[in-house]
Amino acid sequence: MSRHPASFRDPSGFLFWRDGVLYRQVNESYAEDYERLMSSGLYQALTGEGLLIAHSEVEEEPYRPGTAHAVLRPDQLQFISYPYEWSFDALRDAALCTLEVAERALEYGMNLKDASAYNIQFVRGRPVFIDTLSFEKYEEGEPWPGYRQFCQHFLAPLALMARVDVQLNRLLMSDVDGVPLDLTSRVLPWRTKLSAGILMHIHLHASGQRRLSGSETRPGREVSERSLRGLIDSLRSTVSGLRWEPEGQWRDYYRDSSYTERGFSAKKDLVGRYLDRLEPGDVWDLGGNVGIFSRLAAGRGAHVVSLDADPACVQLNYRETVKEEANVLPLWADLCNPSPAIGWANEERDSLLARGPADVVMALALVHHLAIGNNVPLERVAALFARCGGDLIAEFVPKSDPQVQRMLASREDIFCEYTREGFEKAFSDHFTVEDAEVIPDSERVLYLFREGSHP
Amino acid sequence: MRLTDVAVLAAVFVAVLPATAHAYLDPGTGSQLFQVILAVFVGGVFSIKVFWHRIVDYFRSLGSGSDE
Repeated sequence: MSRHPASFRDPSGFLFWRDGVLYRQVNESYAEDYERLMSSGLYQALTGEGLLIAHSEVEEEPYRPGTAHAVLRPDQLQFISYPYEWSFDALRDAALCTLEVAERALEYGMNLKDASAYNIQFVRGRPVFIDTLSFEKYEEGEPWPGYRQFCQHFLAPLALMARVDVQLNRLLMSDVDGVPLDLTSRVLPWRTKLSAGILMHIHLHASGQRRLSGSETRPGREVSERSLRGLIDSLRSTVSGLRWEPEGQWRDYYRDSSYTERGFSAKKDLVGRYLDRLEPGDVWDLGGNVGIFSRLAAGRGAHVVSLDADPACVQLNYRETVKEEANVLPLWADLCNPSPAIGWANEERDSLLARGPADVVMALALVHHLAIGNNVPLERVAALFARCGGDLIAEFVPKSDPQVQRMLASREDIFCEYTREGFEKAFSDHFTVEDAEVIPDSERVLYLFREGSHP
Repeated sequence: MRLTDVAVLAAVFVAVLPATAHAYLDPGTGSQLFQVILAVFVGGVFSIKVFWHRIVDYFRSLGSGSDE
């Protein structure tokens, strides 16, 4: 039994693990608000629309019986992802979900007391609010306590992504409470001051924080409910007005000459057959591109985390996931520098690898990017894949392939071990070859590896 | 919201806030006070928006009524 390391700021309760199940203890101090959430109709409304994670009250021994009011068993999530790993559209949808939850809470006489992006997770391409203890009784005149957090966790990174560079959501990684508004205001181009929403909620807000933080005046002036709704409406318009369209180097990857139509179709069949043999509960699709093979695995009942280093691919993958309601979680991750553990004591947000391992890893048309594009020895590639999951479906793209030839055109060929034999040897430290087939009309080989080296 | 509205807001904001900048103590307190000031403005805009939608809905209902 252990307490969740990220669950310590809110005195209302906390999360703990027991026998592999995640529970939430509701403290006595939050009892009144919790009962209001459950009896007001707000919980039913939010869970009915899929906006809030559902839970059941269980007769489980509390983690700290002295302070406990109830123990909840929330619907268990397969994988926890973080906003610095999301695509632009995913972060935007998460922002809109948070505003929707805040607005619905007001309708039922409650206030959403925080607006952390870490309170959102994705299930089949839909954002879901996961912190059941974030609601408190609304007192007339009270401002929205989540305003600053919403601007830092959502609006600031979205504005930076849309108006400067989409890669700037990485700033969420360096500041665990969202992107500071003074920093955002300085980085955003001057013309963003002509956008009313960004001017108010970022530029003037940053200036207000600076000028008012040492003010003698204490908060106390009232905000009417109408104004509160106006604030949420204004934030919604601002968020909705931000867009980002991908133009990545890989988005046309599947349309290029790497495979003939027959070859690509055969590759899909083969990956499908390998997956049928493995029957994984969950898959990590490394270098998942726009998610074609991720959805192939999801269609067979697996939960798939689809990782790619190109934000354009992740965006397109997310859009497709939403459209198909696929059990895929498209994430932006660079395998050469995966998300680190961050936050208090380096324990609040797990590193990418700490969130594994998956049953099966897929690495299709990826190894040459790591081995040749990034000079990673094949043994290390194999070791990383072994840490990410159990069995492995991997594609070997030989030096003779046009893609690799293009990569080698701009660098010295120091990769003497990059051969089919060298690949099999390097992977034999962690895996055993169960099957290998050449993809038609190419020299690429698709391997099915089982976990564990051959005795 | 139009550019003129924004200019008015910015002018009001500058007039309302204390002229001297204080040390960067706590962005949370600054944010909350800022929200109190901002809320008056966005609340007003929201009221106009709701009122406008009502007018539009009213004329739409008249229009759809005459079609039937």
